[in-house]
Amino acid sequence: MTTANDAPLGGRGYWRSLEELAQSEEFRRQLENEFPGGVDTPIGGVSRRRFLQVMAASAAMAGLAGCRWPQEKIVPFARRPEGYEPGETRLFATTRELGGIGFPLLATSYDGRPIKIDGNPDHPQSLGAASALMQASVLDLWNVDRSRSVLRRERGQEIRATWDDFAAFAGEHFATLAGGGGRGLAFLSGATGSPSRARLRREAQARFPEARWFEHEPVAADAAREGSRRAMGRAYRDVPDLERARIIADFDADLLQAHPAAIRNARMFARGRRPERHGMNRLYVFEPGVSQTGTVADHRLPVARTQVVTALAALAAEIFLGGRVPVPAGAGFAAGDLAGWRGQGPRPDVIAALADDLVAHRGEGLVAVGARQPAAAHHLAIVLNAALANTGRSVAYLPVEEPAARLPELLRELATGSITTLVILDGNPVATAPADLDVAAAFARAGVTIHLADQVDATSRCCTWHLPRAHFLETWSDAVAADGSVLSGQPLIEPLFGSRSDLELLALLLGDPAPRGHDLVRATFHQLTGGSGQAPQNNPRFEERWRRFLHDGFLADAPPPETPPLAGGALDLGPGPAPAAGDLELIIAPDSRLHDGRFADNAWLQELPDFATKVVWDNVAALSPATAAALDLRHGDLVELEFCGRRQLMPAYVLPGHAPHAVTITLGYGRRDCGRVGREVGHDAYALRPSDAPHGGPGLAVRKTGRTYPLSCTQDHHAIDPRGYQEREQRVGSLVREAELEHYLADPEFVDHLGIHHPPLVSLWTEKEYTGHKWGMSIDLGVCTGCNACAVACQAENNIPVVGKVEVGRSREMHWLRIDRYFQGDPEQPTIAAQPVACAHCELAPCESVCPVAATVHTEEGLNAMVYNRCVGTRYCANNCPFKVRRFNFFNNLDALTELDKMRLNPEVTARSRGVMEKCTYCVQRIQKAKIKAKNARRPLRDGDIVPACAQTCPTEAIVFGDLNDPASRVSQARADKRSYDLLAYLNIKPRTSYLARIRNPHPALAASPDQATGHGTGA
Amino acid sequence: MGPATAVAAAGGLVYVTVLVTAVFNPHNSAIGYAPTQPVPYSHALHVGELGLDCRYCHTTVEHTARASIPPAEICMNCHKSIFTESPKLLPVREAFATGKPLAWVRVHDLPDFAYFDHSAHVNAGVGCVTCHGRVDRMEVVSQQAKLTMGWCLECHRDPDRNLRPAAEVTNMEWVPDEDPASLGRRLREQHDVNPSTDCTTCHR
Repeated sequence: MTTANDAPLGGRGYWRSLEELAQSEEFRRQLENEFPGGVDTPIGGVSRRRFLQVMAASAAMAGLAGCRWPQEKIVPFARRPEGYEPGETRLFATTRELGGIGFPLLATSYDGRPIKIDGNPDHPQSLGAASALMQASVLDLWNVDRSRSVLRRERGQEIRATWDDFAAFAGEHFATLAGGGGRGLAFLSGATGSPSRARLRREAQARFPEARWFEHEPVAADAAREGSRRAMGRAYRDVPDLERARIIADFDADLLQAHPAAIRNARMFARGRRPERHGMNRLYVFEPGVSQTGTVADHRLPVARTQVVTALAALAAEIFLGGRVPVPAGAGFAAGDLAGWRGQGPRPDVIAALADDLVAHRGEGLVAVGARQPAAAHHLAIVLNAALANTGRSVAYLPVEEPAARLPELLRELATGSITTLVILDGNPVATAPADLDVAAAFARAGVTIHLADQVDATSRCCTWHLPRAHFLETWSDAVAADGSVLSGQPLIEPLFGSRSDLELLALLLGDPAPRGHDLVRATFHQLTGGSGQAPQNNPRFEERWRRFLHDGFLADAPPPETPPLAGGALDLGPGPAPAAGDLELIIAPDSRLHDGRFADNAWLQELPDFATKVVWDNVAALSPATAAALDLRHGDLVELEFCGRRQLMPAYVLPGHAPHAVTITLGYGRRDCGRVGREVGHDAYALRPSDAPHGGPGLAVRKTGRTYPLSCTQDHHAIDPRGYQEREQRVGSLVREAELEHYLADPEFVDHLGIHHPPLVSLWTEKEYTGHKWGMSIDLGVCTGCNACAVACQAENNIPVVGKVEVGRSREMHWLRIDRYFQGDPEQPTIAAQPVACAHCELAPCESVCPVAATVHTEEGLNAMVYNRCVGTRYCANNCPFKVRRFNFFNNLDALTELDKMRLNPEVTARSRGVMEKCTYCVQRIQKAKIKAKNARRPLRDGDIVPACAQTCPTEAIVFGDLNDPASRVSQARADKRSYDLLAYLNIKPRTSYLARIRNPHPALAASPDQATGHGTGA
Repeated sequence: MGPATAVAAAGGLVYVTVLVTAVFNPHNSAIGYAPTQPVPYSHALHVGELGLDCRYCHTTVEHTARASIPPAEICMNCHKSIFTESPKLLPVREAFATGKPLAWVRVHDLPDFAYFDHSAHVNAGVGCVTCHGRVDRMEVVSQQAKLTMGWCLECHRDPDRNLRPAAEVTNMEWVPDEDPASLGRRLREQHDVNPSTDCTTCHR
């Protein structure tokens, strides 16, 4: 047998991991072992003997238990609420804030239980899509480790208390404080745009005029505020319009994922991305890590965080010094000031091409800068957009509140003893503060500390009062979306543990003994729509407006973003370009799943593979292959990072495409103070975070410890033996097909040339004709960013269990929909492709022919159905599945759930038991429901009546589903597209899921040579 | 093999055979199941004698998966004015007054992995009586059909005998005035009734 080493890289030279590319010893061992480690590991802790004993006992019981399953009760409402129908889902518009931005959501309630979150299709910031984080946030509601009681702490003793106890204490205490004008009182909260919060804060300022307000948001956009203040005289937030932007320059902004308007950005970006419609936009990305935006970029340059501003300044120099565009009045600098920057930074040819593009597309370009870039970068981007006439066309600006004083100032005040009462409205500052601030000690100096939180966390343990905070699905709220529109938040369920919201707490402190969130938000709405004081009780016109606000989820008339003139603040770019190859730089970033740690207790997000690393249940220190080689580091080496005198252990992850001379670590892991799910998972990056360099900086030292750390990574799962590996390698260029625009226009049939050439395919079986519906799916790889929203949507919709780090390490993850990620080309500057893969519902399904009990069969509509009750768990089907999308229940995963956990299960989908195979069903429950609804109404099914969970939430509309027998359906049209191709077509499996090839649109001056453009050759 | 073992084996065989053929047989285990309900509500009285339509109480049967058991409120529509003092109705009055619901015992209990949709059947013209029997004669509701998968499939394979005009769906006494098979065929074609026997029709 030849080793895989001899095989040439096929196709376009895609590879999945560096181990694979380098053919490391370890990877080869993995290949030679048919099943990855642990596949045959017995069920934990149960011996064979014990198992037989239990089985014998239960068999005996079966005989005695009689003939009928347990009696069930039907408990109808005594008075059924209007509009409620038992067993029918109901949708409610609501909102959740993250980092001060409200996201318009649609929550699904099943018999009173919120079970799913989607985007609000009526709101322009969602258009039906929701991010992975928002989708997963429903799980937090049902977390068993939520705080269930008010706690009072006295001399280190934790005493259970009630809200009444707190109200009694607060009534007296805050009346005394009000008597003193609020002297000694301070409030601390995360960023929020909530109008009700602002209103209550004004009321609090009236009652406690001397009270101080502080803000602590671990992932903040302070530099953007400061930059806009310098450029335009006050704090603004950019509101890009990617529908109009043809040339998009993304300087570490991650426009399609981390940006406040990311969901809408992604949708609009995708609309400008369909080559067959109206020209294609072009995306340039300069970034240190590997972001989703970088994945779909036409030009992606990995540059260290501190080098991004160099690239931007070089771009400005190129544009202004070339004389084609004058420096606008009020820019705060002259063209000559930029002379030192011209030609600096990485790849001057790309900068020149970008300058060329932006100048040629004045008014149709966009320069965007990320929140962690310095103020000067934001300032410069605003000037560039103004100079290029983009402002007012492809970007506008929304005024934002100046932030309150920050945590360090609070700590200084606490140290002087001037603050005696501290109210913390949300967040977990003790765990999420920079490492140099001793928050716990400082809080101890205030006599009374009150913390509202969803869990008893590190901050709660330092406070005299802990109050349980209501989940957003339990409470009334409002928020401001990324476009400035006001969103309404309404509860779907009464608080499970008597928790209250921040609004209710504020109202309580203001002297309302029984605050009701409903009344608070209603009063704010009344004032927002021109009223004053409390909301009227019996005013039908107001009632109608209020109900519409709740029904729609937002106020339609948002103030439009502004186009303020430049204010002439001086541009401060610093002394000059920093040397590119200085010492090692640390980058501290929010995690793509846990954000700042607030999602640490969310099992769906913990088990969600990070887009770039594919690591689950861990964070890593990501670094580029060259940097790793220079430091003599390998994948999984446990390293000690030292930054600003503080040390932390982290596992190294060698990430192709990461910027050189930099290490990225993500926040949110290593928490010791959260519930069972997230406790001590990963390593705490806050331990390295200084308050003067919250995003990291140069001066990092990395030391090998000599130890390794086990990482569970879904990347190399389903690798096969060396022969199979060779085969796969031959095929991989045919799995992900892509071309550059020019090549595509010259040769629209290029996808066919990229496939494996094969003789005419003959079937062993009599092929079936599908005369009724013929369901199919199409996934557009051209716009898939790999954002994971579909994966979480699928998990929520289909009751997919979570198995934990160890089991994922044994390839036992249960996700029906996975996102494959491929790199191509130079490991230092690869292009990246994401490919969602789920059951393709092959017409000639290989899984079906090997099932000994006909547990997987075809339906009349061509679904590859999985019949759980027939399955005996041979796993032959999974072995024979060429896509490796079948998942086996090694455990009674759902039986292990607590009663509270079970409340979030979707009753429309069967709970699977141990020993049963499962996989994507195309959301057959939704198909059946739509069919019955149409038939009851005596009308034919329309295209779009059936939307699987993944397609529903896809921000870029990459996934379409429908009837292939309806030539007008979107999926039929997608299939008719020249870019459409099937995976592994030469196996004659006839998959019902097809893909649209990715077309990249590089600048003509930078386009690859025709040979490289398609990689036509070895794969064919 | 000693005689004791042989006896044990034979005994085991008999035990299993009886278990399978008699005890687990839905004829014995399900049909006739008539649990006592918290309120002695008589369908025979309300439907048979007074002529209430099924849909007066089971309001959602035509457009949702579940027929739905009525809230106490529906009982009280009438019982606010008649039999207001009846001791049998005390639980209903209490539920209505306190909002604490009645807990009825489920009679027709399909396995949790079977997804039956009332609206699909009612709109296709399958009468209530077809699966539930002569409820209008029941003092206490009992199960009349096997409700096994084989029983479902009999009709899904050949629905003609069980189809009736939409207006007669809730009529317990309806008999076709023509050949049921030819009427059924006509109705099936008219309403495009083509029940599927795919697993995914009922199992998801």
